Amino acid sequence: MKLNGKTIVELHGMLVRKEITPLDLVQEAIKSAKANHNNAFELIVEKEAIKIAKQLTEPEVDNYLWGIPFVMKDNISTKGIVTTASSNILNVYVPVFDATVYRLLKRRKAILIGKTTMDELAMGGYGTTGHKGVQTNPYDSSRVAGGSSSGSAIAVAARIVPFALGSDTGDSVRKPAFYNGLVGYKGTYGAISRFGLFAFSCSLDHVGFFTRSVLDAAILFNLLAQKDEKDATSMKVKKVSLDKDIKTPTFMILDDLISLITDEDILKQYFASIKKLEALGVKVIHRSFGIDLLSAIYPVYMVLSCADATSNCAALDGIRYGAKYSGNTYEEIIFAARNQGFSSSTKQRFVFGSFCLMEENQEELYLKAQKARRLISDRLNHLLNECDVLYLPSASVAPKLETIKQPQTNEALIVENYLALANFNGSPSLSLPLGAKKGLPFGVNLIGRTFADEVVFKCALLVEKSNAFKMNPPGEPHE
Amino acid sequence: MSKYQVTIGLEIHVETKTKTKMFSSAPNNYSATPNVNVSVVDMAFPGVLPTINLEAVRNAIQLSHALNMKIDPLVRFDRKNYFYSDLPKGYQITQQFFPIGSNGFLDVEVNNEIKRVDIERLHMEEDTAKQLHFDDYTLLNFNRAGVPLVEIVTKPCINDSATAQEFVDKIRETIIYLEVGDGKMEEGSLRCDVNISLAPLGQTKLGTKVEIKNINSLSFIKKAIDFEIERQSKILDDGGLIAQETRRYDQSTRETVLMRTKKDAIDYKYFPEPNLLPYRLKAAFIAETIAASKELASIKSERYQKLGVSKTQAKIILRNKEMAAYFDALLLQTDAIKELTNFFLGEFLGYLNKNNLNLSDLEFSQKHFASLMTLLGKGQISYSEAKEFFYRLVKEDLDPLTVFKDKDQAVDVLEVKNAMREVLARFPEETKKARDNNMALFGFLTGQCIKALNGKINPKEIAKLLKELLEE
Repeated sequence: MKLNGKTIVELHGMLVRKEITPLDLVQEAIKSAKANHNNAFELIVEKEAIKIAKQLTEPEVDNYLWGIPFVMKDNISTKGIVTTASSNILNVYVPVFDATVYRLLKRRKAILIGKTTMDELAMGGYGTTGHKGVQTNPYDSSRVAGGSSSGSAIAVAARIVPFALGSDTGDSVRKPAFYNGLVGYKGTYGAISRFGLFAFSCSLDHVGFFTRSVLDAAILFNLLAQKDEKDATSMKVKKVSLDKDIKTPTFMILDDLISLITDEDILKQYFASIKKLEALGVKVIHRSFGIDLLSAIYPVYMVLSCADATSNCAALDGIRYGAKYSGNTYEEIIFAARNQGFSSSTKQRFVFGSFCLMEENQEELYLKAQKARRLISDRLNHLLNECDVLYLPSASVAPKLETIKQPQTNEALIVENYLALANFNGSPSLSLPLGAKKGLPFGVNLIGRTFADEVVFKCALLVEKSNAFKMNPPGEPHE
Repeated sequence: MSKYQVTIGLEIHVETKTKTKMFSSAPNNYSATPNVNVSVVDMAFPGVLPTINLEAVRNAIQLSHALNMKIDPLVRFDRKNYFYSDLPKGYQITQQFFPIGSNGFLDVEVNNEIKRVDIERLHMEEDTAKQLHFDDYTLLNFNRAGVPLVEIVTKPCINDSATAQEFVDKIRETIIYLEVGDGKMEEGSLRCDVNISLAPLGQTKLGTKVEIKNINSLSFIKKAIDFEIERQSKILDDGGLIAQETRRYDQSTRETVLMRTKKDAIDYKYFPEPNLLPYRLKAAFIAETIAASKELASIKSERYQKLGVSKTQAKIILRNKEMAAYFDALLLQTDAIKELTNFFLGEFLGYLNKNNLNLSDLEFSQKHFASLMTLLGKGQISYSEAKEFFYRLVKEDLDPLTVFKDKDQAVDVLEVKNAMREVLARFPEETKKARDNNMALFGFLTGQCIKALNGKINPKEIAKLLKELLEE
């Protein structure tokens, strides 16, 4: 069994007891990264990682991250290491500064193994739009890994590293966590600095991460949630403490959303998990979100995120940094850079976002979407005042690659995109594995009140404990 | 003069003085070696985020207050999206929807008449990179990218070029006195756009607006407006229509030149800046900021006038902020304000001008200068003595209290002068003739004074004082 298939907490114990060394972990991680067939890597930083691992000889007992290998999505700025966001327009771009999250991990002596593939500039839900082509699911290579943090999800699922950083604008960590049998977390908006995260949609963007356990996620949250002067939306939040269990928490089920989910196997497992939770003293209540508001999530998300994206990506002109394209004038160079540097799906989003912002359309599209976001957030906050968490399952297992271009029904659009709720109001949200169907993982998600990250972690611990489901490594048979 | 109603509105951009830029920690020093005062934020590298410079907010508050504006305590920023080679992010962070200052005014004096210019808004934003155009290439200096700017927008309430020019000059003076910027139009730290429209007299609806962009000197504002009034009048006279367009002033031809027409107008796709949450300023912060404002020229003028300085004199002193500061420092060291003011505007400025000197060239102690004025004020020395001493002071920096030590003890010149004035009052005819250089009567009056003073002071001194009195 691979060492990197263990949790951070397990590996830390082994490191402290000197049963293994950081070098063992790094060498294994690099070997399995190179062997990965799911197209998870933009870049493997072999030499640097080994050099750092060799320097780490005295374990730090009170530092869980000491000597632990990890990977990051390629939209997180790394000084001196090419960072492309899987976009041709940023080929050969070498940042001159570190993202705050990377700086914090380096300071704790976690070891970066590589940068992972993603949907171009984080715009996509399957891991198919980046310049390195399609990322496939480690449990079934004919299926998607889920995006946009596809490579990071693969790297943890394939036991290459025990944790990985990603970003989550609509569900880009928590959805691939479903598809890869992982814990995926994004904290309260503002808890973790976005400085150094390539902007897609600033008020929806979060740095998130994949782990193998809820406890590992809480450890990472406590490390990364620090107020950052470089991010004006950053806020000081309380450290999470899991010492005491939560007593009789209230979980809320959204009946109107659940009624639209068609996968009977997932639903069966979901309701079974609720029974187990109730047996542990969890109070379960049923509410409806309102189908009009649920239907609005996807269009509102597209309008707002694309509008932001067109503005955020205006700086990518191929002049000051990134790949050089040819032309006789600077206008021609920019035209070539933006024409050849972005994929067609990204360009579609720019055109759409720009259209929504045009003076004659703003009222009807952009402003209306902002108002709808407010209504959806208000409804969510209202419901969250009645409970500790929303408890909702994934709607499906990872889809087949050939099916993702097919048009989706309105019902499917709702159940496949509801995780964006937590981006709209900035709620903490955690996905964790619930079960598997023919060897394909599916999960469940918790959404809590803003700044109640601790409550979400505690509730998730209960689910983890009561459900006791762990995905086997890809390639190994499952019960 | 014109048969058209001229309506002018101004948009003034002011670079404000701060340690760092508006949204980054790079030094705000645009005149340094090009492209050294630049951070990753200014260059819009992927992943960077803006943060608000409170010092720039303070400048905007002080300027808003000086322009009698309402200050919005909730600071909000928006994005103005457009492409231009000097704009690294592809958008400018500005305050489109909620400017920090609104509804103010500034009174300006034009031809001895006070005119009130209403100011619609004052908002904060960031400057772009500086472009240097050459024949076949353009260089960019990113030192300027992100420099804090405030934009002041007047209502369309100005009707002539002189008022427009005077308003910009008053804004410039305000910036300089508040020390929120250097207000140098020629260097671009103060820039002015003019909106101008003509309509037939009596028509309430405004005519078609033409914008003249980036005027970089006070005199060009007047010239550009005058040219534009003439150009548009001619078109209207011939029955033509004014096109809505943007023009610039060409200083070599002294004409405005077309830059772009309305069909090329940009849709800026404004939306709230998501990376900067609305920032609430505490009332105490605003109050402290306002209280810490440097004294405006108009306030100084009032203060001087209360001390007995005439309005015209005050205006001359206040023409130059350093001069006013020098004068203020002297005021703190002497009570002889009337003598100081006369001497300052007469001998002192005369000396500087004649020798083409700046204040920084002066090597003598200001304290000695002040003491000299005190002696003069007490009448312990005469004006001509003071003048004579001043020229020694500039060379040798002597302490007048040491040099005139005996005088200090001896007679009170003021008393002497008063006694002599009484003598002159008794001989009005003779005094008048003596003033017209009648030497015989000058001798007569000298004699009368010597008699009246009864030997208190030597005759030579009396002759000298008498001459001064007659010249008053």
